[in-house]
Amino acid sequence: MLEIKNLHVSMEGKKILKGLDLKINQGEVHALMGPNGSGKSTLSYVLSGKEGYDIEEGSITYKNKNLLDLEVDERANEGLFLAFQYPMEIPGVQTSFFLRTAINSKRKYLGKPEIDSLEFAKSMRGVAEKLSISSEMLKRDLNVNYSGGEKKKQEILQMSMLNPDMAILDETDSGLDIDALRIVSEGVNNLRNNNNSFLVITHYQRLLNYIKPDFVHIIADGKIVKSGDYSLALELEEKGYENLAFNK
Amino acid sequence: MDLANNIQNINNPVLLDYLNTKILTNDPFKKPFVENYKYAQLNKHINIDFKASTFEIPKSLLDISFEISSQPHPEVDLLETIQNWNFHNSDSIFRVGSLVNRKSIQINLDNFKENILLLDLNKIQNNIQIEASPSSSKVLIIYNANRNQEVPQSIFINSSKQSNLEIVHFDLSNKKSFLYFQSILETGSSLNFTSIQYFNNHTRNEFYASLDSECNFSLHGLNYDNKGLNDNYSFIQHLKPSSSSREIFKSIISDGAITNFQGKIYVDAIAQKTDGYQMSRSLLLDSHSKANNKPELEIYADDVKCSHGSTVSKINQDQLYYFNSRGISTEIAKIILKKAFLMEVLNSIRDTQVKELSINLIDSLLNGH
Amino acid sequence: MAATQKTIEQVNKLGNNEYKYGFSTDVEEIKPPKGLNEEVVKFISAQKNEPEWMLEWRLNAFKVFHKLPHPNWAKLNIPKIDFQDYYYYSSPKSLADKPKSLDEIDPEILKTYEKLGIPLKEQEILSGVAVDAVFDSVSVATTYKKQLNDLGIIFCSISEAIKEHPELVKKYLGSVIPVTDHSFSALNSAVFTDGSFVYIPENVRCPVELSTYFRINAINTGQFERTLIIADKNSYVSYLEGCTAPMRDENQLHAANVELIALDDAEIKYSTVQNWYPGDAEGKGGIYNFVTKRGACRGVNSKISWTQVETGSAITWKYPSCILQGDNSKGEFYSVAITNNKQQADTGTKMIHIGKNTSSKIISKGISAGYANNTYRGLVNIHSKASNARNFTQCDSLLIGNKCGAHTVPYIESSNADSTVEHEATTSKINEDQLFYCQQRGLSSEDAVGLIVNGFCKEVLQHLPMEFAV
Repeated sequence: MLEIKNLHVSMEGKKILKGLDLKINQGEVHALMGPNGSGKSTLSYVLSGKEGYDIEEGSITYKNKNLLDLEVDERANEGLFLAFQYPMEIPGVQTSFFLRTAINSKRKYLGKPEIDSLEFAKSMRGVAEKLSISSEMLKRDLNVNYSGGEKKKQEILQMSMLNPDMAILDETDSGLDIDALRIVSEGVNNLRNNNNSFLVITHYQRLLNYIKPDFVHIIADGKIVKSGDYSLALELEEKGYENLAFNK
Repeated sequence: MDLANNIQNINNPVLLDYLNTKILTNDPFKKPFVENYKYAQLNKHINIDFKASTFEIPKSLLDISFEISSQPHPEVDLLETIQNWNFHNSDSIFRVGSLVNRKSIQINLDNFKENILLLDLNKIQNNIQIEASPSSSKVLIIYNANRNQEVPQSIFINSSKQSNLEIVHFDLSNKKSFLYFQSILETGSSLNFTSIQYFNNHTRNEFYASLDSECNFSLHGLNYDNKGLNDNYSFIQHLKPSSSSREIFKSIISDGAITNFQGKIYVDAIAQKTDGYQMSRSLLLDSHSKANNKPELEIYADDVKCSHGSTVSKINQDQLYYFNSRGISTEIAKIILKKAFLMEVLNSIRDTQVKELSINLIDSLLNGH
Repeated sequence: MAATQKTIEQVNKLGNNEYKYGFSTDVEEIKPPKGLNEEVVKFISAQKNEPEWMLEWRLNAFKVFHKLPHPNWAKLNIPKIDFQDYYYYSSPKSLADKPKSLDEIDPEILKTYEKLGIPLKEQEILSGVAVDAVFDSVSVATTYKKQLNDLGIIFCSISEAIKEHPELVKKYLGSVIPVTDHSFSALNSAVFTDGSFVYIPENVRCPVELSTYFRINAINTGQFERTLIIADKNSYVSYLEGCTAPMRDENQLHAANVELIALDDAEIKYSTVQNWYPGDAEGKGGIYNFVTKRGACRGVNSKISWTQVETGSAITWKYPSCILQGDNSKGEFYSVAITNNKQQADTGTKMIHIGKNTSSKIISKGISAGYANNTYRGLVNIHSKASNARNFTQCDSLLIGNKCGAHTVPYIESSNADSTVEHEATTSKINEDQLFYCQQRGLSSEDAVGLIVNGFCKEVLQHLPMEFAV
C-alpha cells in the first residue's frame, strides 16, 4: 500500500526527517510513537502533501504510484486520508455541505456521478449517530466553536464517509476524554478491513488499548529507531522513551 | 490638498453647486471634507458617462415583491428637510448634488399592503423620501442597475418609533452610479440594511445613519467582482443613549479593481451605553488590484463599547490545504471559501425569501452563472 | 525617570494640575531679534560657525517653507501660529564658547539637569546611559564620550557633527525627511538649532543607552531640534530622548525632525518620554509639539522600533514612521498617549512596506481625560511589489469622563495579494469590575485607576529601555 524509503525532509533549512523507512501493507494497522519534536506530525503532513516541506532525499510509493508526484487533492482522491491533530476551522461553510463536496470530488475523480442528496443525508446521519454527533452540529460551520472532542469526532465522521484506503491519524487521541476516545476508536475499528490500512500516530500508548495495531514503530530524531508488535507499545509505556529509544 | 485643487479645476454644475452652497456648513472646504473623500478620486466620479440600460430586473425579484416605483407619489421640496439635518462633520457632495434636482417624492411604505416592496431607481428620477410608520415592519428592496440618469440620487429613510425596517440594496452593472442614503432612526426603531454590490464599474455609495435612543442599526455590505473604482462611505452617529450599530463590509477584489471602504462611528457625549461595531474585510486576489480601508471611531462618551477591525489578505492557505486534503480541488475550494467569506453579509438578511434570492444570486456569480 | 511610575502619577493626578518640571532657570541668554527671516537663519548658522554648504541648505529650506501649506490632516484645533512672535535661537551666554569640561559649565545649568534627574557630572552620571543634554538651542554636554569613541561610535551634538563629520551629515541629512515634506519639516531644516547625531559603525553593538535630554528654558522660544541616527551594517543602538519645559502662559513651539537610517542587519530602537509642559487646567500655555520622526530600513534584515510615552504638550502631532525598503526588514511602533485637561494629541505612525517579507507591528494605547482629545492616526501601506508583507495593528483607547474624546483613524492601503494586514481597535472606559476588585482589596480609587491604566499600557511600557522601565 505505502512504502517510504530513506526519507529526508527539512523545513526552512532545518532537518526534521533524517532517513525514515516504513512499509505498510494492505490490511495492516501500524502505530507510530515518539516524543514531541521527533517528526511524527511532519511525516503526516509530507504524506498528505502540505506545502513548505523540502523533500531532500528518498521516495514514497503509494498504490504503486509516486506519491510525491500527486497534488494534495489527488492524493486524497486516491484514498489517502489524514485525520488532523488540529482540524481547521472554516467559518461560513456548513459541515454537511463540506462533506458532500468532498465526497462528490472523489466520485468525480473516480468517474462516478454525484451522490444522491437523500442517500448522502441518510448515510451521514447514520455515521453521525454512531459517533454521537448531533444533527444540529452538522448544520454548524465546519469546526467553528467545536470543542476539542467534537473536532476529532468530526474528523472520524469525514474519514468514515470518505472510506479511505490509507488513513493517517495524527494524535487523534490528544484532548479527548475517555468516552470520546472510546467513540472515536470504535469509529476507526468499524472501518478496519482487509483492504485498507492505517497509520496511527500517537504520543501515548492509551489509544492503542482501543485500536490494536499489528505493528508498532518508535520514531526519534527523524528516524524509526525500533519496530515491533503491540508488546513494544506496552514496553514503551513501562520504560519511557528515554530508555527505549535512545539506549537500545 | 490635491483633491481640493482637482475639484476646483473641474467645471461641473453639480460640483459648482456644491462649492457655492453655504447651507450645510460655513466652510465647506474644512478638513473633514477632504478627509471624507480620502480615496474617492472625486474627479473620476464627476465625469458622468452613463450608458443606456440593458439590464432587466430579475424575475425572481418581482416574484416576491410589489413594485412601487411606478406608483404615483406626492412631491415635496427638499430644502426644508435639509435645513433640519443634524449631522456632525458630514459634508456630502451628494446631498448638495441632490439640490440640483430639488424635487423629492415621498413614499410611505405602510400605504402598501404587501410586505416586500421593490423600488427600482431607474424608474424614478427624483430624490426619494421613504417613511416607515411607527411599529411598521416592511422589507424594501432597492434596485439600482444600469442607471441612465445624470444626477446623483439621494434616498432618505425615516424609521419611525418602534418600526422594524429591512432594506436590501442591489447595486450592479453600473457604468457609474452615486447613491446617498440617509437614515434617521427614531427611538426604539430597527433598521437592517444590506447592500449587495457586484459587477460595478464605477460606484460610490454613502450611508449616513443617525440613531436616537434604543435603536438598532445594522449595515452589511458585499463587494464582488467590481471593475474600476468601488467606493463606500459610511457615517453612523449615535446621538442618544443605549443604541447599537453593527457594520460589516466584505470585499473580494481582483482584476485591477480599486475598492475603498471608509466608515466612521461617531458617539456623542450623551450617548452612553452605545454598542458600536465595525468590520471591513477584503480578499485581495491579485497585486494589480488595490484595497483601501479607513475605518474610524470618534467617541466622546466614556461608558461605551466600540470596536472596529479591518483586514486585507488573500485566501487562507491553510484552509485551502484542508480542502485539498479532503480531495476537493483548489478551484472548487476557492469558490466555497469565497462564498463562506461573503456569507456573513448574506446571513444578515432577515427575510428568508430575500436572503435565499441573494444567496442564489451569489452562487450563480461564483460559479460563473 | 521611571516612565511607568510617571504614567501612574500622571493618571493619579488627572484633574489636578501638577507639572513638577515647571520651574525655570535664570541664565543670561544670547538671542537674535524676535521673528523669522533670512537674517535669523544666517544668525543661527553663524552662531554655530557652520560651513557654507550648511547655510545654503538652510536658506534653501527657508525658501521652501514659504511655498508649502501647513499640514491640515490632523484632528486638532490649532490656534493660528504667529511665526514672527518667536525667538528662533536662544543660548545661555555661558555656553557661547563651548565649555571644554563640565567644570566650565554654568552651575545653574548643571543644577537644572540635576533637578530633572539627569546628572551630568562624571562621578554622578547614570550608569549604562550616555547623555547629550540640550538646553534651549545648544547642546550642554555629552557624557561617556571617550568610551564610545574607542568603539568608533560617534555621539555628539548635530552642530558638532556638521563640523567634524560633514561627509556623513551631507549624505544622510534630509534623506529620510525631505525638506519639502511639509511646512514644518522645511521650517526645522531652516532654523534647527541643536540635537543629537549618532553613528554606529559596522558590526558594533552600542554597549550603553544613548540619551538626549531636551529642555526649553527661555521664554517665547521655539525649539527646533534635529536628530540624525545612522546604524551601519550589522550594528545596534538603543536611543532615548526626554523633554521638559518650564510653566509659562505663552505657547511655545517645538518642531523637531528626527531621521533614522538602518543599513543591512542593523537595528535601531528609539524611545521617547515626552513630558513638555501641557498648559494649565484651562488650557493656557503649553508646548505645541509638532514632530516629524521617520526611519528608513534601507538594508536587508534591518529593524527600527519606536516606543513613545506621550504625556505632555498642549498640542501634539507626530507620527514616527518606518519606510521598510530592505527585504525582510521590520518596523515596530509602541505608543502610550495620555491627554488630560485641554490637551490635544493626534499621533500614530506610518508603515510603508516596499521590500519583500517586510513586517510591521503597531500597538497604540490612548488615554483621554478631562476635556482632552486623543486621536490615533496611522497608515499601513503595502506596495504591490512587497510580497509576503505582514502587518498587525492594535489600538485601544480608554476614556475617563464624558467631556473628552478618543478617536481612531487608521488608513489601510494594500496592493499586494500575498500580504496580510490586520487592524483591531477598541474604545472603552475603565473596567468597573476591575476597579471594584482592586477597591475591595483595599486600594484607593486613585491607586486602583493608576494600577489598571498601568496594566492597560504595560504592553507598550515594557518596550522602554531597562533603565527607564520599572
